[in-house]
Formats: sequence, structure tokens, C-alpha cells
Amino acid sequence: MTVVVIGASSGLGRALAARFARAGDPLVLVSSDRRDLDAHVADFGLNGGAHAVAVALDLADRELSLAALDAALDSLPAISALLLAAGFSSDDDVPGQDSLAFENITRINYLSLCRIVEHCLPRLPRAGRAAIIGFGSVAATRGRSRNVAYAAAKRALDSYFESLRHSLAAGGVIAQFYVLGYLDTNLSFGRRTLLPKIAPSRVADIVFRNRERDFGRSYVPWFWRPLCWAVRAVPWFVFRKLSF
Amino acid sequence: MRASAILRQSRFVSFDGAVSLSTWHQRPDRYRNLEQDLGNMPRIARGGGYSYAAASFGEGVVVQQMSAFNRLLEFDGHSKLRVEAGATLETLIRWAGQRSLILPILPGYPLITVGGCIAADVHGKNPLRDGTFADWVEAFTLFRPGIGFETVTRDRNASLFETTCGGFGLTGTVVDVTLRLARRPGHSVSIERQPIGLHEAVEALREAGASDLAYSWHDGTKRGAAFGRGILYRGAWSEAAPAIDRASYRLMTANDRGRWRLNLWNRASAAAANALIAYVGNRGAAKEQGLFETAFPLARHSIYNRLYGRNGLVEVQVLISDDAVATFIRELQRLVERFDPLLVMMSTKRFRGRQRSLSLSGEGTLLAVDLARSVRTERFLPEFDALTVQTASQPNVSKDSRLPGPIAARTLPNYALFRERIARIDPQRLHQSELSRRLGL
Repeated sequence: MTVVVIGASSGLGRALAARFARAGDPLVLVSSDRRDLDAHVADFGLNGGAHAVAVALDLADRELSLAALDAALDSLPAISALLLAAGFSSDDDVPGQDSLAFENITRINYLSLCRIVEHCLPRLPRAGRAAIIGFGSVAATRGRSRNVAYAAAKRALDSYFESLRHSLAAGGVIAQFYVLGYLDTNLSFGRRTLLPKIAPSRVADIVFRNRERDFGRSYVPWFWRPLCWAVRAVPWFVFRKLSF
Repeated sequence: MRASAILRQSRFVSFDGAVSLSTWHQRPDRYRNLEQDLGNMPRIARGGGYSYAAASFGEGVVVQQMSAFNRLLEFDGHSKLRVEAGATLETLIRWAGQRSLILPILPGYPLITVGGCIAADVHGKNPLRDGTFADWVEAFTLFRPGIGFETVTRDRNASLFETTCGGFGLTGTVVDVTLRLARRPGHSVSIERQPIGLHEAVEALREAGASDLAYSWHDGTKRGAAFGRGILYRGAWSEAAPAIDRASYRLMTANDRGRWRLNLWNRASAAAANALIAYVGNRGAAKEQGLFETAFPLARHSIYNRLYGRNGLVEVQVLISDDAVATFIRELQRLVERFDPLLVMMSTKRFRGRQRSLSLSGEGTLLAVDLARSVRTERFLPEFDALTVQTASQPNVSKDSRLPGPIAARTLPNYALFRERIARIDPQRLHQSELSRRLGL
């Protein structure tokens, strides 16, 4: 069975690719820069891990073509896991930003990911287990003056996964959505965070361990679930005065 | 999607604890991150950060942490392995060991990176026989702003190759390296130990030139006739299973080496520790030990470095010619007895280097002296530098964070050539560090 990792070049995607590679299933690694993926493919091969294929796709591309992804998948077994780890945020993601920047953030974090899922659905096995795994962010818990497009896209993705889970409930395909706290990647590099950052490799271990469980939505680390609930419960007259 | 470089402020400290400052920090994790425009900001690549000198950071310099570039890229099935510059020696020896291969040059800590090994042109446990790291490099990919990625080999671009090996990252960012590995001759190393003085060690090491491993350790606390009392270690690969083959160790970075506020090396603790080493060393016959234990003896004994505390240590290492070594040791003893610095230990090796950069070059005895920082140590060091100049010895730039520029200019045989080449290779001087500035490069 084949594992597809979208956004495999760095951060969480890279950690997921490395973790699933250790299990030995064939991998399709997708990212915008082929050089990073080729390095992963070589490394997995030399370390006796999985056979991996690199596919360069730019998720910000309005005319996103999935022909290269199809070509890679045609020669491989059916998909057992589709991991949507791509993500992009910007310090300039505030109301009134450039419309192209807004569109890019929305496309990378939501639209292109949904498009890939829709495209790959026929390749998921009708019988047997498979998982579509998406990743959200605690930044999307409640709209703030920062991460405007990013939070909206992540919340939309959350909703999409809810629908996906409902529509796939009768079959063997499960849809999992992880709401992630602070990850120790370049997105949070050097930033002071209220709570500790978690290493992408730890998240990858959790995702791998849970890959066959049908739980819908999960928070990683776990303590973000009550925290997010608390943030949502803060009355507006208090929330409007908060800056975070 | 293209984005501007993510830069944050971080604090860096040299491994010896002497230099500490905050500056810009970048953690590239994709190839395109290396291509991001940093304008005219000076920058320098950083590997594990285990250099005693501040070679991978400087005031106002963007530190490019290469840790994410740690993958194995290509193997020819025999001996040539292409690996990214951020790969650690630990990764490399584990991978090579499974294929009965070995990287003959292994400096003292497993988390030192391949890029760091090139930058400092490090040496292993018998440099007389094995040479230095550069001798095992076939090619590398260098990234230079405005030029991009280029493959550099000894034949294709000899000057750039020579200047980069031992060039402390001042020619550009080494992205990947093609290494020549050797067949691993056995499963363990059989170590023989014998008591020896500092003067006698020089001759004994010369005779032990063909050994797989040869170095000596010397008690730094002894004075008078007992000065330099120590142990000679000679090793040979063996087919026997190692009695000790532990590869576990406690992680130590430059930052947490100095976590303890106080320096706990004093005359009593140094004498006791040296007595213990002498007792263990003089006891019993040869012992078989694994490669990890042999290559990284201090990895599992990080307390040695931690005991120097926040103030840190001073390590001075010099290459002394055969003509001058007797004079050097005699004068060293005189200086030690006169200034009485807190000298903890010394070690020697036979050395051969052939590079034409800032790394050591030529043949002779390599003497390392470890001292705790103190007023007496500060008084001793200028005299040690004067002795280095007087005996035409060469200081090891990567070991000495306080080496003054004028001393480097007078003692390093390729200093002028290196300076001239750097000016040609990087005319805007985009690659800088505290080390390059201190040495007037």
C-alpha cells in the first residue's frame, strides 16, 4: 500500500515521511522543490527504508496540475494513507493584506489540499483500511487580528474533514484531523510561545501509531483541547482586549 | 511559494565558553532557504557548534544552522559516499559500520558534522598515518551568493578546494560532501597502554607511526622531575569482539557544557582525576574496545568538560617540528613552573597535514594543553604564544578561541596565501565570523 505525503520537504511533512518510510510501504513525496524531495528519496533508499518517488507540485499554483502525481501513483499499489502536511503562514497575514498573498495562503492551506483529496479518492481502496489525515492549528481556534487567512483556511479544512468523515463513514476509509499546538518548525522558529513547542518527529510518531483509528478530530499535545475550549468560551468584551 | 528568510535572534557560545553573543539565526531546512537573499548581511554556516573557537558565529553575522541538511545522498557501492554537510559523524559511522566501512578521520565528539569537519579540516587518532579530513574528501557542493551551487573537486577547482578545506566556512556554504571511506579492518580496537613521560612520548609516537591509533595523555599537575608524566596509548584493529562497545552518551552542546556556574577544576580535583586516569591506565593488559568508545572517548565522560563550568576552559594546541620539539617541551616546563597556570592535562600525537588553508600543515608533534581559566592562566598564555613563535610552531586555529591575529599571521604557513585567496573568492566578504575578524581575515 502507498503512503502519500503532501508537503514532505520539511517540518512535519518531512518527519511524517521519515516515520512512514521506516514501516517500509512505498511513498510518494510531494512538495514544490524537487531538490529537497530527491534528498529524502536518496536518504530513505540508503538507509534501507521505503521505496520513495518524488513529485514536484506547487500548491500555490492556481492551475495546479496533478498529472505528475497520477503518473507516480499509476505504478504503485493503492493509497493506504494520504497525509496533508503542507502549510504556510506569514507575518504579514493581517486584514487588508495583498489579495495575491491572501489567495496563496488560502490555496496552500486549504483549496489545493482539498483538490488533492478529491482527486485521490478513487485511488483509495474500496475494501480494507485507508486514512486521509489532515492537520489544523490551534491558531484557528478563534479569529484574531493575526494569521487571518491562515486561520480561516485551517478552519475550513477542519470543516471539510468533518464532511469527509461523514461521507466516508460507510466504507473502510477514515478521515482524521489533528489540531496541532506549537510545532518546532521554521513557522515558529525563534518565537516565544506561551506553551512548549512539540518536535515534528513526536507528532509523526503519534500519527503513525493512530493511523488506523477512527477518531475524527484530535488535539496534539492533548492539553490544547481544554485550552481551545477555554479560548472559545472567553466573552467577547474580554477577548477583544486580548493580544496574542 | 517564495518567502523572505526567517531570521531570529539567538545566543551562541564557543565550546570553550570564552565567546558568547547574540546574533541573527537562520535555520534553513530546504535548498531554497539557502538561496534566499540576505542582502549584504555577513553570514556563516554552523554545524554542531563544537568548535572551541567562535568559528560559526560573530557579531551581526547571520548564523546558518545546517542541521536539517543531514541526509545520505549517494553511494557508489564501494567506498564513495555523498552526504549532506549537516550529517553527523554518529550517523555516518553507524551507516558505514553496517557495511564494514569506516571514516578514518574521527574527531572527538559524535555530533560534529561533516561540514564542520571540512571547515576545520579536523584530524583523528593517528594523523601521521591517516592525514586530515580533507585527505578523505573527493568533492563537495559549495553555495555562494550570486554564484549558486557549484561542484568543487581537487582537479576542477583546486584553489577553491584547498581554501575551503580548513577555511572555516569563509569561502561559502558547504552543502554536501563526497567522502572516501575505507574498509573497516576489524570489529574492535585493541589498546595497549604504557607509562611514559612527555619527552619520551615524542619518540615513542614516532615509532608507533604505523599503528591504527597512537596518542599520549599527560598529567598537567605534576612539576619538577614528574612533569608530563603520562600514558602512551597504541591501538590496532582486532577481530575480537569488543569488551566495551557502548554507543550511548549524554548529549552535550556548547551551551549546556557551561551550565554549572563554577569551575570545579582546581589543583586538588585535577591531581585526583589525573591520578585516577594513571591508575586505570597503568592497570592490566591490552583491552578491546568498540569504535565508538575509541573514537569518542570523552562523549560518555562529558563531565571532564562540564567541570570547567561557565567560565570555560582554554585549550591551546600546537604543531611542533621535530627540530624544535625538545626545546619546546623544555621551555613549556619552565613556563609552567614559573607562571603556575591551572594546567589540567596535556596530550600529544604525531601529525601530518598537507592543506593550504588555515589548518595545520607539515609534519611533527601535535601538543594539546588544557587549562582552566584563571589570572595565572591569562599570564601564562602570552608567554606560550611567544614560545610558539620562537620555535616556529603552528597553533591550531579551531582549538584556541583567543589566538591573537598577529600570532596567527606570524605562525600559520599559509596565512597570507589564504587571505589573498579569500579576498578573491569572496570579494564582498559576505562570509565572516568572530574567528575571521579576530584573525584579521
